[in-house]
Amino acid sequence: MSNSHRPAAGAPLLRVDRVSRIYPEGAVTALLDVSLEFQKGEYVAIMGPSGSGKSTLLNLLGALDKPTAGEIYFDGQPLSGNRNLDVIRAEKIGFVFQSFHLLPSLTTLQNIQVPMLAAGRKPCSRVERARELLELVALGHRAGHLPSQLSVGQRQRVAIARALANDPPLLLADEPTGNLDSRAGAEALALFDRLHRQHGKTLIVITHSAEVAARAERVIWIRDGRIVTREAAAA
Amino acid sequence: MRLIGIVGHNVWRRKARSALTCSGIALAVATTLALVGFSSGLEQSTLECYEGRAADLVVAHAGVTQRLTSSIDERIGPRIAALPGVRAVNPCQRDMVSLGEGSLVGIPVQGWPADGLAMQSLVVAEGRRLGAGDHGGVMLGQSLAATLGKRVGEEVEIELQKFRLVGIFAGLNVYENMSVVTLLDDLQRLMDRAGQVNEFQVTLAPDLAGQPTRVGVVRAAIEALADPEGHHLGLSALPARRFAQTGAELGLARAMAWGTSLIAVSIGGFGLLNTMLMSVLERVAEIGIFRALGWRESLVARMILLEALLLSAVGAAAGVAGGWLLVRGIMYTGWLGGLLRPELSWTVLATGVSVAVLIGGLGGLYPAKRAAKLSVVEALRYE
Repeated sequence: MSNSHRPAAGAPLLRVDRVSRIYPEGAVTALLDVSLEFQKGEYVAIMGPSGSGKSTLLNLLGALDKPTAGEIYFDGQPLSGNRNLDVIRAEKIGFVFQSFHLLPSLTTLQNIQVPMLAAGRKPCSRVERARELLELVALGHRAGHLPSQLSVGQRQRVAIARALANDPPLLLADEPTGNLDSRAGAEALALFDRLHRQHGKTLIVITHSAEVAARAERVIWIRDGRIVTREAAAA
Repeated sequence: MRLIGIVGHNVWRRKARSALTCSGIALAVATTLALVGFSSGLEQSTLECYEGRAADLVVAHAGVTQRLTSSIDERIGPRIAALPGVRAVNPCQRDMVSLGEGSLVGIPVQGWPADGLAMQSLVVAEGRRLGAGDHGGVMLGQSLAATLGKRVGEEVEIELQKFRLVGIFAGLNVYENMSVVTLLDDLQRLMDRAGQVNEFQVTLAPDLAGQPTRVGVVRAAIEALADPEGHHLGLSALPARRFAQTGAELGLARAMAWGTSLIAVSIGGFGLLNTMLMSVLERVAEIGIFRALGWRESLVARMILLEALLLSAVGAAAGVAGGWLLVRGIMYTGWLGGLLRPELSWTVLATGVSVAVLIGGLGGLYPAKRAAKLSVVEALRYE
């Protein structure tokens, strides 16, 4: 694990170029003049204290929000002028939310198919793919269960399976072990390792946990909306 | 899983609210069906009464939309009968009366001459037809006689005057079966309109059938009739169908039916709007998840709109069934059933379903737009 925000060489999957995000309603500067690069197949952890701007950065990287200034490039294409951010989210990015955000009235098999509806996959291939992914996260026997009938760790695995639905190159995870016990957390991290090593996914994980960060190839520290060194973040 | 599957889940998981919303729509559809059905039925019944009595044209005062107030000198009848292409003329006086010491009100009564085509075409079920010497006599439709419990030979009190029941007739429809027929001069006396009729029912010569140009010539000849001083009599001669469709009474019934239906539809529509808006506001975070997972604004809007349309469709189905039961129920309820004959045609049913779709579309449009325009980040933060 390196301890730097300097990217490795090569064509980046994501490039953040002098990005700022200011919320005008509260005149809050969440991010200020941030520049970063994320290489294809990289496993990166973003750490920092609460309110440091981690989630804001994740929202911008995930095309959920737009920067007030600067530009983000996905696969070399600027996101600011792109009117199809929905398509990018559907096909290029998988989200794993801290509280999983599974749809309570849908079964695990159906939850996994939700992003596939956005990508316009055919119904039969949706079901086939969802079953494959349930097997991948070792939940094939829970296909017909509702989220409320699953343990917290199982819900997290369903959320990871859903993030992989359209086989995106990038996975964004917000505090993926924040709501899990140590065993379930370890299982989730092992799954991330496998996705990174065996499937070549680019992983960007926001975390407070040193254990999670230790598994990443690179850690980016953030404080008061700026990229800082580890020492400065801890100060 | 398809989009409609998610839509179904969303509607089904709030069962009580969905059921109540559907009930509101069903009530609106049932009300529309019943009221529009009744007004269509009234129109159809009126037309049947003319056509069944061989009336091709109906002559009334031009410009008088309220048919019961039309008043024409009955001596014009023979002049119309003498026109080329006219086979017979039946003078007719109509009114609404109360019967049974006021227990039945708004009963239609028609006064016809004994030798007219209308009187001669009555199908007698009991007793006999009114003859020229039957002054003070009366005939009742079967339903009316049954409602009053009257038998041939008994007395019937109309507007406080006593008449003798000469015969009971089988009417052409429920409307006629709940009506009274008297001799023309008896009704003129009763209504204090001696020598006056509301209308002439004109039967055309058989060779004019399917000849609109020649019918038009007859109509023009009737409308051109003038008094000895050369002043136009101001008559209109309309084909029976058009006459049946253009009366003020029918127009009023139609307007009231649509007006009341519009109120019911508005209530149903606002109910649906409220339900869908609540549903969207309760699911802000969930909609945020859909958007975060790549659902386009249009897909989210389609989902909400489909939910509204699904509620409407279920409401429409229940409303059509409910409306049908409602009108059937009313038909078999006391004297009202005898007066009203609903017309549940495909047109009326299509109207009801269109109303439901309209409610669904309008009630779902704003919530759908609101859901689609939610900020993804704000929606995901929403608890």
